[in-house]
Amino acid sequence: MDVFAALGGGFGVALQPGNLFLAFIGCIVGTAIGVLPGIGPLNAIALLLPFCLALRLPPESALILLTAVYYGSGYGGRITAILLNMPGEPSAVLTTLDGHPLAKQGRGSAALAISGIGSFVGATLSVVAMTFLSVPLARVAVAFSPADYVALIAFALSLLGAVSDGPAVKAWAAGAFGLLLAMVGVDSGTGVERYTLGSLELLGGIDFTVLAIGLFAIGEILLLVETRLRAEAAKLGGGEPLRLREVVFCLPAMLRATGIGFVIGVLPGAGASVASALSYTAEKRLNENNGKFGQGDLRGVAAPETADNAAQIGNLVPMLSLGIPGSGTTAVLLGALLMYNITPGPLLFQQRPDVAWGLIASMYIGNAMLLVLNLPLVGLFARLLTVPSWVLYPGVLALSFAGVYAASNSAFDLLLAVFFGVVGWLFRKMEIPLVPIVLGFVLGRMLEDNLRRSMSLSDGEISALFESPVSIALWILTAAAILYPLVRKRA
Amino acid sequence: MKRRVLLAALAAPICLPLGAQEGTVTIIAPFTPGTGIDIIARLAAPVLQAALGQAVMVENRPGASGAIGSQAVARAAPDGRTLLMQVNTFVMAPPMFARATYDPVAQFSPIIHLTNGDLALAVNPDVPATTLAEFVAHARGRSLDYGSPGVGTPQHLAMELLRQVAGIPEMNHVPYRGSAPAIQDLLGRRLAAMVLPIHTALPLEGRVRLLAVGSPARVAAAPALPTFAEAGFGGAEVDLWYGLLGPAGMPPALVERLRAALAAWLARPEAAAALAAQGMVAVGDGPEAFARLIAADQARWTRVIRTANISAE
Repeated sequence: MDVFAALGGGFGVALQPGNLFLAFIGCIVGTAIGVLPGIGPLNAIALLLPFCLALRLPPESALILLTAVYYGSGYGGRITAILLNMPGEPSAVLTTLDGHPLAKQGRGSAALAISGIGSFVGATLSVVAMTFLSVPLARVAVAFSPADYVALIAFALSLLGAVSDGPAVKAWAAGAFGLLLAMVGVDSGTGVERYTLGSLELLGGIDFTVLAIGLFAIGEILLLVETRLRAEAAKLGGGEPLRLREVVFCLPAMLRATGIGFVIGVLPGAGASVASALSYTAEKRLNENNGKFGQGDLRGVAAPETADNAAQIGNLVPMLSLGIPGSGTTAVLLGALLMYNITPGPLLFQQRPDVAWGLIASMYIGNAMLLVLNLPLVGLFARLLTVPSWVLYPGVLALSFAGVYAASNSAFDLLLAVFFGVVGWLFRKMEIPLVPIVLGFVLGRMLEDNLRRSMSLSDGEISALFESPVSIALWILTAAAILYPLVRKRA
Repeated sequence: MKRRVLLAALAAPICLPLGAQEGTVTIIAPFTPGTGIDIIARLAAPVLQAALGQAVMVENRPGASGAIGSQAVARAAPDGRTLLMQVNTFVMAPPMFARATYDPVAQFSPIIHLTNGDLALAVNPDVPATTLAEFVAHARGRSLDYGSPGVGTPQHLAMELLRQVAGIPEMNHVPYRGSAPAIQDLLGRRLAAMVLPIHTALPLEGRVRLLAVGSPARVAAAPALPTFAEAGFGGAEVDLWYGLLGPAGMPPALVERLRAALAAWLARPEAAAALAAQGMVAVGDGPEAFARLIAADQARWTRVIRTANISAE
């Protein structure tokens, strides 16, 4: 009952006209940030923070605005992923797999609608979970050790073969290529330079934005240029609009994705990309006999988008209740709280209920706003495809380069993005899937970091990887995921 | 149609670097947005803009422990249009790289030492130590695990300096990527100890135990915590310092103009409040004192790094 009273007070804060307006602005800015490749919520929030201070916004209002930008971005990344096969955010990479085939069949609007609904379901249910379970969940997250992360990442990697539609061997090879790319840069343990070719710019490793924009946006455009823009591009309309029956059909997938996404999100060391990858592969495996994943299955769009938004909200849990940010963006949000002299932690909910509950209430409202904004706008977004290609693609290319340059202000990164563009173009021609490369890259870095940490903490004792019940369970799942396809083939 | 696509595609990247216009001052922050350096640079930018009557923008040039951004400033013209906001890492990074990067003394004009950030030593509650002396005695008997946001960060080198000063034979450094995952392992009691910025450490009190502060004097935010010297380990003092620099050879009059504007701002109460939120206190030392600090710290950290044979990021 206490929670409901507190939440009621929170709605009192969130429903003030000024705060409603800020949540609305935040949602719009967030969606726009999500659409733009390369520019993520981290940069947007870091840039907006000084404005909040300059405008002397009270802390709850500033937090409502900044957080709305954060979860709003989870709605934007899917738009270009579905329509142009170019993910606007890292976590939307999986959305290209079924979203773009749907757009090619003329069902782009349906894919946009189902992903908007999925985002809403994932985010709202996660806010509900956060409302009631925040503090105990965060305590469990702290108990998750580097060895447990190693097992979780190994499990995610074991599913790589299932990500793409083609032969599993190609997907594995692509994933391994991604793992190798993650090794570029200074070895964090010994200081040895790996594959840097003597370049100072490569010391810090390859930036994710550079890789993703190169492979997807630039690679796709090179392919279009080669085929004189006559490649089978997505087309507007023609297909059936989204039916209620289909939404109901996708609902179980959304619920599963919410569970996966929220739990992964609460772990500070994982992230939205892992969540969307796991939920996509889970759906694909569950529905092997009745799905057409990879060719335009609505569940293949709903699952990763739902998990993405659920994970984003989950990421706020350790930040608010423990003061541990789970991602770069939540680290900046934490910085914003500290700038207002507000200390996150279990006491936040008692000391500053207006801030904590006001924020949670505003997330219910903000997500409802995003759904209301997004569904009618689906038609407008889809009209992106009616823009003549000689305007659209150079525009996309310019925005992509701007995104890469904004991340690091480095001309070297622009050249690197072009290099990966050529790689992406060649791989597409060889029908090597790109998604496993990106996932291997993200997971590879996490795997190495956590493996090194657990080895360092255990003085090199490999058995430390198999000590906790959580890690043993994850290793068994990993073995099952690898062996199951082999066994089934023989039977 | 094909040719038009190609032309537009080629033009796009060329147009972008021209964003910086004539007469614009750029403060290079060699770390990512949202970090302490970036926040200070963004606080300083409007102050300089008002004083100079010129647009002042902050540009993030992260990479190689800040070496990429610092190098860019070292190579820029000393006309005051390219400035650098830096932290201690400025003198810690060059000795760790096998190759030559930049010379923090010869290639820069120090302008103003803006602020200091206080560091504290935190241990997890399982460590049987309530004072620094007990911690050192405990650490001498075993190889304790400690975390840091990365190899060669001030938090890493601070612990290494304490190890050298206190004569602890061995400690196991576990580098992380940023402080958040390291703090998680400290709270999860998998790491024994970690040096943390005071404004990060204080909210964690109860779940971690704070033993001492690295600053030369006690800090206002945590008056009960002794300094390293008070706790018996003088010479292990360490804090974070933040300051503004330009390329070597800036005209003294220009340096003075920038210094005066920022010093006047530091004296205002709202500046103190903005800095306090980041766990920092205003300093305001001018070019000579700042140059002495840089030279002394360069010698000190180069020695610590060489003794421990640290190389990396």
